[in-house]
Parts: sequence; structure tokens; C-alpha cells
Amino acid sequence: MISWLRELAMIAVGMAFITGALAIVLKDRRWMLLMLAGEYIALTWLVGLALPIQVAAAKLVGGMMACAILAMSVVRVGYESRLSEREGLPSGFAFRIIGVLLVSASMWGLVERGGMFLPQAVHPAAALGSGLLLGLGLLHLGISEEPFRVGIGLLSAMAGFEIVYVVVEPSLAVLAFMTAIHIGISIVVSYLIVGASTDEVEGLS
Amino acid sequence: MSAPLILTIGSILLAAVIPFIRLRREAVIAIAVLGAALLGAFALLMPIEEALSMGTTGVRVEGTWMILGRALTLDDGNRTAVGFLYLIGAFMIGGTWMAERSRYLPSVGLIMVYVVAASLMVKPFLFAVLFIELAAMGAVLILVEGRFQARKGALRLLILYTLGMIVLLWAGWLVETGGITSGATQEAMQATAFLALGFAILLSIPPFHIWLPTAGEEAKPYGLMFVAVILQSAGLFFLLFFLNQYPWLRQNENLFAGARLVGAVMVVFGGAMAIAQRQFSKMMAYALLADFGVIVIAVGTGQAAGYELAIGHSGVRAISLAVWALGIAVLKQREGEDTLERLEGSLWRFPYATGATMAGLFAVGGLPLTAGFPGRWALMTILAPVSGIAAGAILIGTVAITMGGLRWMIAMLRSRSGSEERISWPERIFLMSGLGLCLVLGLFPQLTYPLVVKAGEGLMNLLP
Repeated sequence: MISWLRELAMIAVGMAFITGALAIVLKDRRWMLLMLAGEYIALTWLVGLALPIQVAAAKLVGGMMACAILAMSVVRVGYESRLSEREGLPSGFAFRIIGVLLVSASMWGLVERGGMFLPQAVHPAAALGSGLLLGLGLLHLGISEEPFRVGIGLLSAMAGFEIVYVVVEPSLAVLAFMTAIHIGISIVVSYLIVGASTDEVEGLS
Repeated sequence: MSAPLILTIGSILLAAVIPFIRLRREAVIAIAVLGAALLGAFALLMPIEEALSMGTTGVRVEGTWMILGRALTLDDGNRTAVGFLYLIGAFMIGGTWMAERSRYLPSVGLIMVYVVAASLMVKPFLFAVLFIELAAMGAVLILVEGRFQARKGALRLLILYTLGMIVLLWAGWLVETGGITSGATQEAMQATAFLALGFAILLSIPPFHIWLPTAGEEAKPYGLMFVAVILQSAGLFFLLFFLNQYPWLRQNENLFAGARLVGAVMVVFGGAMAIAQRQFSKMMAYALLADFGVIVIAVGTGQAAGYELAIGHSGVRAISLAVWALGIAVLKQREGEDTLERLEGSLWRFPYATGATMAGLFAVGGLPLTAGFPGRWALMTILAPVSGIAAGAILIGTVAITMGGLRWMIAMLRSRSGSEERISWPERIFLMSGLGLCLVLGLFPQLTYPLVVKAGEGLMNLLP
């Protein structure tokens, strides 16, 4: 393993936090996709603490493929993301900021106190990065029912989970399977996004 | 060549080719059904790890396919389950001929069946949950087909199954590394809590059932039935594998008491909600919940007879639900909607579809002389000395769904408006066969139960 990856691992944690938080706060789908790509870079870095970087790079490739699939659907349906499809569900800017800060602080506390039942072998930076991505992904799922945002939330939560799961299950098969699931989720979500826009167009015509 | 590889190639090829076949819809579905049935027969009958002479050459089909360090294995322990899964898949895919014009169900449905079969074959079995997640992705495609605005139920399903996968993988790690030998240790309690949460999500136990009623409102009824039966059966077998593998789980009496309680809640809640519905497919969603509650209670008995009933009932319910969903789908197609108001007098206009619908409904509810009754009766006999509450809940659930069914039947009989719509003879025969099947399986349960129970052959510790 490259030693600077380990020494500068907190940069990856910072990256996970910033990209995970901005993916929730921003409304432009292009920026959200960029944040998701950033999450995958952080994921690769943190997975690289436990696995050879060549193997961890597979996560980056899979993640970028998932981003590309989502990007194709975004190009087709437009860049503005609606947060809530339901009236009365709080989703304003201030609410999202407060949500992000609360969840991040909670996950930080949880990881610090060992509340995630993590094995000893997990690097502290990986544990924190994992907790943040998992928590922010779940928050994203909680505040929106729009397929694009649900997709981003699911992929973030899965990315967070994988950071620690590769430590306990470092097999190639599981790595490949998890990557396939990332791509599968992005395909299904893209299908929903594009299909819904086609329905809307047909409904108007 | 290995048997799992043949099943993989066969399923993927068939699913890939089906959408491109330019024949009549009936012919395409017939190809899908025949293909699935052949794959099922292959899994059931093909001699594995034995040399077969074919003329001058010999062929030997291996039981294991290694892929990236993990194995898919077809052996005597799981081949019956895999075979039956394909056969039930073929039966349900066949129903799409009449049920609804579904572009995806034959091909995506076949892939779902394969993926669930792979979840039964994968070693270590813990990774089955990854395959179930793939099946959930296929389920989303089936649920939203043609109605993308109505996608809430499908999205909820995707979210829940992805989170369920995460929780169960983590629980599996806790179990594997915790060195757990007794259910009383702290590690065991942590692992049990994660397992309970993961399985609650996978088996759609309230409150994780929220995708079902929403999908009931939005999706095509036959597609919903297919998805629910396949996913819940996969979850059930995964749960049984866990119980089979870990003795400390089997010795945890609290776990079984909890399962009985949760199952009882599912049966009563599902039954009560079903009776109140004014849309038939939404009623089916709640009846699905109540019916699966019966299976959860059967597992909660912690006895071999209970596990056998759970497996047997999961096979029988696939038939009853398919007949019910087929009837609803035909009625919805012809009447435009499946609300109580719209279906008034439908018995006079569509006697065959209405008859199949009611037979399926009463069979799912567990009315005596229908397919759902023998399993419930046997289960209540086992439960009576162990848990009167669970036995009572089954009775309440049966009464509730039957009352709901009677309400619909009265509405369907009420106003004799419009003349009988003509349907073709094959369609009549198909619907009447479904109706007959629901009655025959109720009168002669020995025809199916002993066969379906063989699907649990690999569960040596649960079914000695």
C-alpha cells in the first residue's frame, strides 16, 4: 500500500463529508453527480487503506460507470432536481443544512464511541468516512422520494458500507458483486427517471 | 461443464432472446414457459457428478461452478428447491398470457427466478443476499412497467431491499467472526438484533411492508403477485438456511416467540386492512401480507413440522395467488379499474374471471375446502399447545379475509347489468383450471405438500 494514502487519509474523510453533504444540499443534478463522483474517489481512497490500490481502483471504475449511467439520464430529462414530491414534507435549504450537520455529528459520535460494532482492523479514518457516507446517504433517502436523489442516497449509503465491509470480506467475488450492484442501481434509477419523463411528455401531448 | 453454469447460461440466453422473438405473444410466452420448465427439469433430474455415456463419448456434469473464489453448487441438498423454483416460475410466467400485456415479465421474471435459484446455490450461503438484491432490481422493472409516474412502491422496494442487504451482510459478519456458541452472549444478541432487522425488511414484515400496499395501488396486479411471491420465498429460504446453519439461533426460544408474535401481528393487521380496501389489487397486497404472516408463524414454531408447513405453504400460496391475480388482471383489463364500485355485477359480465378471482381470494384467505386451508389447519393443530395467541390470530386472519371476500362477492353479484362478454375457449379453460386447482389442492393437499416440502431437503438440521 502507498504510505501517503494512509498518512493523508483524513483528506478522504473530509472529501466524503463535503461531497456527501453537498449532494444533499445542492439542487442542480450536474453538481450532484460531480459530488457522487467525489464520493467514489473518497471511497476508493479509504478502501485502499485495506486493499491493494489496484484492487480498490475497481471501485472507482465501477463508481464512474454508475455516474456515467446516471449522467446519460440526466442529460435527457434536465438538470433541475425536485426535492419533495409531497406537499408539507420539509426539504428547504436550512432544513437540509441542519440535517446534514446533525447526522454528521451523530455519525462522528457513534464511530468515536464504537457504536457501529466495527472490527479493530478498520482504520479510524475509514470508519469515520464510512459512517459519514452511510449516515448522509440515509438522510438523503429520508428527505426525498425523487428517483434521482433516491439513487444518489442509495449509492452513498452503499459506498459507506463497503468501506468497512471490504476489511472483513476482502474477496474479489464480493468486490465484483458490490460493484455490479452499484451499476445495477444506477441502471434501474436511470430507467425510472427516463421512463417518468417519457410518461410526462406523453401525458402532455 | 457444471450444472450451475448450464442453468446460468440457459436462463440468461433465454431471457435475452425472448424480447426479440417476433412471434405472436402467446408463442413467446410459451417459449419462456417451456424454457423455464426445461431448466427446472434439468435441475431436478440431471445426474450430477456421474459419468453419462452418449454414444461413443462420455459426459460428466459437475455440481460446482467456481467464480472469483466463490462457488455456485447444485447438489442433492438444493436441487429440489432450485427445480421447483423454476417450475413455479414457469407456472407464473404462463399466467401472463391472459393476465396483462407485459413486455418485461417473461424475460425479467425468468432472470429473477434464476437469481433467486443462484441465491440457493451460492456457497457460503451468506452471499445469497447479494443475489436477492439483484432480484429486487428486476422486481422494480416489473412493477413500474408502463406506468412510470406510479413508481413510489417500486422505489420503496429498492430502498428497503438495499438496506436489508447491508444489514444482513453486517449481521453475517458478526455471526461469522463472533465465535458465537450460545444465544445469551452479548455478541449473539447484537447479531440476533441485526438478523431480525434484516429479515424483517426482506420478508416485508410491518413496518417494512410499506412498498406492498403502494405497489398494490400502482402496479399491475399480476406483476405485483409475481414479485412478492418470488422475493418473499427467497427471503424465507435465506432465513431457513440461517436457522439450519447456526445451532445457537435454533436454541434461542425468544427468537421463535418473537417470530410467532410478529407473524400473528402480520396476519391480523393484513386481514383487518384487507377487509377495508375498496381496490381489489390493494386488498391482494394486504392479503399477501397476512398470508406470509402464516409462514412466519410456522417458522416460529421452531419444530420440523412447522418448517415443513412453511415450505409447503409457500408453494401452495404461489398457485392461489397466481389464480387470484390472474382473475383481477383480467377484470381490470376489461373493466378499466378494479374498484368495488366498478366491479359491481362483474360476475354476470365476466363469470370465468370472477370465479377464478374469488377462488384465488378464498384460497389465499384459507377458507375450508380451498388450497390455503390444509396448511393453516395443520399449523393451528401444532400451535394450539404452544401459542394460543398465534393460533387465534390465524383464525382471525382467515375470518377477516373471508369476510372481505364475501363483501366483494356480494358486490360482484349485486346488479345484473350488461351481457356476458365472450372470451375464447382457451381462456375459459385456463381460468377454470385455476379455479379447479384452488379447490383440488384444498381437497387433496397430499398432492402437493409432500412434493413441495422436498425443497427443504438440504436443511438437514431443521428437517432431520
